[in-house]
Amino acid sequence: MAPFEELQSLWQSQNPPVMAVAERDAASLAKAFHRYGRRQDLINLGKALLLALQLVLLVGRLRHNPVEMFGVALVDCSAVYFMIYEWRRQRAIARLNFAAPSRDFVHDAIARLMAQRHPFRSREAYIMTAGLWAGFTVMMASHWPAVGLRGLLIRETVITALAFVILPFSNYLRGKRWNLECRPLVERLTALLVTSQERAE
Amino acid sequence: MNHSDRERLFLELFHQHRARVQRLCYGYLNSTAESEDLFQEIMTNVWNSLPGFRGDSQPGTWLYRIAVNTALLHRRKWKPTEELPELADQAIGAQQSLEQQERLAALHRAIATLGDQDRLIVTLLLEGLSYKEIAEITGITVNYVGVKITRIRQAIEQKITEVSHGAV
Repeated sequence: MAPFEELQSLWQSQNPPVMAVAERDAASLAKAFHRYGRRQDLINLGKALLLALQLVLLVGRLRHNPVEMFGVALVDCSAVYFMIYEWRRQRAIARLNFAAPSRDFVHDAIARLMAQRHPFRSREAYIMTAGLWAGFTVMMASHWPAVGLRGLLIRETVITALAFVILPFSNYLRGKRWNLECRPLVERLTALLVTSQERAE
Repeated sequence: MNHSDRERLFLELFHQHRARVQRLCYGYLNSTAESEDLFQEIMTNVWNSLPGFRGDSQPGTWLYRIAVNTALLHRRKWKPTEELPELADQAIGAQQSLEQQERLAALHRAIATLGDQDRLIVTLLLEGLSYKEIAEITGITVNYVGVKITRIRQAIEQKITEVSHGAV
């Protein structure tokens, strides 16, 4: 009969199986990023559909008012411009290949994911905001022509204030989405960095 | 806990307990590939849970508790009809003598015949943890741990004896 203490020391002396990051992790990470990409595709397709639907409805209603139509077009073009910019960035993330990731590559992937947390801190977001502001101004100017300087000021204040309502709400939603979609990926990549550091030592 | 503290603590835990946790995964699942997945899942859960670690228990005990819970959940994800994978002998350390390797392989086979919780308990025991620590990790009483360990030891020693006598 084998004494248990002997088994204990034998157990502790065994080398744990080698944990190769290589192919298994690469495949698993690629899958996770692919899923992320698919999800973004669906969300963006949904947004595109909504925009198209809204455009069709507004064109139907405003076809006799070219100025207001121009405003709507400005708003929609700005939204589409930012959506395409974001979609391309998300596709780029989804296509990342982790077959042989260097530490810099992983850091870069983490940075790209972190940037998704605050998408409105970009030149493109400022351009979109300016486009939206101009579009809404044109729409409101056509709908409610300003009466004097006071009316103009009130109208522009209302439009500008809209941004301060929409932006925090969008940021809040983005935070929720980021926690759901990107945080697990960031944590996996961070764990991968730590593991690779350990192996390097 | 800021990000650098979290990373430092994670690295410390990783350095100190990696081999033990890897052996626990391997002892529990008997499959190199599966145990890699489980190990990664455990480390991800440890990383995610670090902000909530208040230091009430020893970091090692806390990590083991996560490892055990993750392992039990991981096993439940498998289909009920799915059998444990075959033991991959090549995963056992090449530095040991042939006799030691055979004995270790027999030990792994004996462990594989135990129930889920018993496999975890025996791997913790083989790592040299006390009954009290095992009770704290698995959430059962010290007395019950004692009873279980007596049964498990008997079962394992009997299996190994059978193997060494060519009965299996």
